[in-house]
Amino acid sequence: MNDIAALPRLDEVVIAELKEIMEEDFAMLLETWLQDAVDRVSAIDGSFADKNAEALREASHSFKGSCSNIGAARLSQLSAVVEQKARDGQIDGIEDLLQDLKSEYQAVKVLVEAEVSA
Amino acid sequence: MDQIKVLVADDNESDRMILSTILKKQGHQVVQAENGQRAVELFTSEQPHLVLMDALMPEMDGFEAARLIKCLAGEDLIPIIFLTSLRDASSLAQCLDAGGDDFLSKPYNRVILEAKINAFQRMRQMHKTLQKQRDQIAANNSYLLQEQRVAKAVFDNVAHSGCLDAPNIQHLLSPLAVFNGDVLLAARKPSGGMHILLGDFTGHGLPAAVGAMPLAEIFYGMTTKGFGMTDILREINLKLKSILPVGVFCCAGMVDLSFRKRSISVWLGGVPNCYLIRTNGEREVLSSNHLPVGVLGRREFDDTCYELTMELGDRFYLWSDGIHEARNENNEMYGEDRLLSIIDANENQNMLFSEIRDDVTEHIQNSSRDDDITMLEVMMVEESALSFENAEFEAGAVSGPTDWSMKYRFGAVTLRDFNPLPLLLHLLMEVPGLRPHSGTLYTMLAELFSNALEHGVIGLSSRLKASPEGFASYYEERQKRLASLQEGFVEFEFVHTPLPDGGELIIRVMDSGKGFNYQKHNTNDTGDEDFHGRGIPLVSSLCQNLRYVGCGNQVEACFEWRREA
Repeated sequence: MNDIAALPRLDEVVIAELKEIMEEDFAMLLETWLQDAVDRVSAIDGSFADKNAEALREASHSFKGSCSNIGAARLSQLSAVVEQKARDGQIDGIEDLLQDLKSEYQAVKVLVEAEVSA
Repeated sequence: MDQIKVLVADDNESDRMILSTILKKQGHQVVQAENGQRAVELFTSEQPHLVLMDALMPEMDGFEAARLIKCLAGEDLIPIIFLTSLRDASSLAQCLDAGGDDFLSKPYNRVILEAKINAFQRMRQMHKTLQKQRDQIAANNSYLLQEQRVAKAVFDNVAHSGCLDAPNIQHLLSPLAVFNGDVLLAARKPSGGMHILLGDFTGHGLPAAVGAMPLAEIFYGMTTKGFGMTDILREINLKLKSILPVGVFCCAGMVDLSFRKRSISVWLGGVPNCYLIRTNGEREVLSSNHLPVGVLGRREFDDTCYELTMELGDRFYLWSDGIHEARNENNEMYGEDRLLSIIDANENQNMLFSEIRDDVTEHIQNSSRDDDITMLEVMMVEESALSFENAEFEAGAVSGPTDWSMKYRFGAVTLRDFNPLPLLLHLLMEVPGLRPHSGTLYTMLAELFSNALEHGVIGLSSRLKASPEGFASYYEERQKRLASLQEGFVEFEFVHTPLPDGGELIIRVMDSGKGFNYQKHNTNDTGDEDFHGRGIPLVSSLCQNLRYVGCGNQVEACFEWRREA
């Protein structure tokens, strides 16, 4: 987990690049991500509650990709660990891991919202 | 780079937005799909040039969508780049198995994406050029094949109009391509005998077939007109030498078979050893002693032939080097030793031809053939065993000379190497009523001429021909004496008179020889060897009346013909 903590919460380099690419659509991209993230996180929660490993794997895989694209490196990596557990079928006792993911999501959300209103 | 249409399939809207924006900024047109099912639908309706495909999507995943899209694309190259954050080797391999061409990993890097799109654009262009050229080649090839089919039909009409299907011939011609470097020709002579020619041109295909056309024309044309084998060979040699480029020639073996004399003349130029196999299993090996035809000029060309007797049931084998050089998988040639051992092991001569063929076929079994395999067996039979299609010698014209006579005298220099028979037969064929009888007339002329020349002008005794050894030395001596002939002549006189329902042709042949004692033969004493040797009974049987006059150096034959009802 130490290496995860070493990753940036929201990579400034990626954010700068996205600004350059998206130009006036930058805010819209981040808003889209924020909306999408609500669905993904609730899908992760729901599939864990249902003990559905396959659904958990798909949701976390997808979230991993979209997080990495906006530079949320730490959140992307946490999603990757969840995806790996789900793929291995070891989803018992990962409540702490999911809690970490949700805390990280809340923190990233604050930063992204700040970028949108900047 | 040209602008293209790109299909982006990803279930994550923010990811699609990023990719689409990058692509649009690079000048491309973008179509978006949120799952695999939609991607396949849009592929069909929008016909994009490139697909960016997420691996894991709801409804239909990227693997299945990629498979369907590759299927729909058919021969067109539609690159599929998988968008993936998958890292493990087996997942990446799964993308490639599904028809993916490359990967792009998240987070997206626009520089790498642009480079990849450009690379695939170049590949697409190349693929298009390749397809165009392939279609062009396929079209050219089918055009060429069509041309060859037409040409082959013409060639077959010219080359295979002969009597290869005669009951005394077995043959094998296996073409490598539509065309064949080998030629096999056989034709009946007006006198009833048979000419056979096997030719193997250097090379295959069109260049070889081109040479075969005039060869076949000359062979059939001259044989029909009554020319002898050596005249035909000389003509073919000159023709091929003048039309073929240097280095292209024709290895050939030619056979002149006489059913009546039970003899065979053989000329071999550049073909492998040929065998005469007698009914008792004895084998005579004839080696090529000349250069192929089409190499030497008129003066250098040598028409010396092997002269052999051939009894009923004796078989002569002629082949191209295709058999000897046929290679097996280990690149070993078939060779003459294998051929001889098959012949030695043979128990039933009727089976020998197929035994050889089968053994060679077994030898080359799995290897790719590198030459044409051509072989022929001809057997001595009674002439009556062959049907003689006379159609070629008949003609339609009705008018022609009826009451006429002529004399034609051939001097010593001409007699050395000129065969007057085609010329004489040609003159007689001007009379339409005589045309159906060309074979008979040719035989009469041939017998009477060879008597006049051989026994009269150069004074050879027919007794020499009694034994096989004598047969060969007879021809040697004939050639020697002819080559140094200084004086003498043979004179032909034709007198043709019309009759109410046909005509009468008198043939008189006079030679410069000292004649012979014909008195006893005219009185029907047929026990004399000399008489038999001269083929007189044969000529007698062909005409109404045959008599010797003077000191025996003149003979007169009377041939009557009736108009067909």
